[in-house]
Amino acid sequence: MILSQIFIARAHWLLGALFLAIVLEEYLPIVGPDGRRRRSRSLVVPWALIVGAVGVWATVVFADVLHDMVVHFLWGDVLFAAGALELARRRGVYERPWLDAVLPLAFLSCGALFMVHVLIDPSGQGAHWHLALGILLLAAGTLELVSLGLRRAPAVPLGLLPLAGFAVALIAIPVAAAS
Amino acid sequence: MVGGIPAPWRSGTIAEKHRRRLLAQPRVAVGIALVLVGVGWAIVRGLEFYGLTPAHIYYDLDQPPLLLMLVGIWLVRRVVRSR
Repeated sequence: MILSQIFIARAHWLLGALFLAIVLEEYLPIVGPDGRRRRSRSLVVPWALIVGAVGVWATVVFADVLHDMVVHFLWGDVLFAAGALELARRRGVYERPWLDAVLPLAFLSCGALFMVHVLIDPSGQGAHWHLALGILLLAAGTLELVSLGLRRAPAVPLGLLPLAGFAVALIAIPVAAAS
Repeated sequence: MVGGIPAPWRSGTIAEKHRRRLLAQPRVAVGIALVLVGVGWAIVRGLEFYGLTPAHIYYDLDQPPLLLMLVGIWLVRRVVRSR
């Protein structure tokens, strides 16, 4: 079943808005009454990752190119795994130090999938946008992994800017394409 | 001080302090910024109205300027509700 361009654009900018909400909820610090900044650990983020994964899996049904199907399927797997692990941690069911690396590794994996998508079909529709989005995710994942190794957590999370840029691009690019 | 009661106990000062603390939250600032960007984008790009059936309401809301506004309002509301 082949979808119209406007339908694809709608799905992408809706996913972009969801991702923007996830990024801002997770990475914008909360200033406590004592003036200290802390990270949010809400359950909204893992649930939103899981919902996003289901949405991405749904695109496998509508994709008309094999590598699109495989990439979106793997992308859904990554999001679902990240959401499930974060949910387990935030509910106190499973707590390990290595879980700090779940979200950065998820961003790196999704960025790598964007690159694979471009490598398989370099002349495909929107290849340069996929490249830009992949670079933003790779940068975000790398910066967040780096910040895990820092002694003091930075006041503004390092990955916030590339992640917000990715989300905004995911909204704005389909608008430009659909116009 | 008024009649031995310290000034901060006056309700206006507490409300003012609460509002200032709220505005100092990065989430509130970003949320308000998103709403303003969404409004500006809606004015420049215009919005479509599809109708009031459930499917049409989805199309009505699934427009990027409105989505940005919704994310901004959601962010601000989460901060206000958590206080």
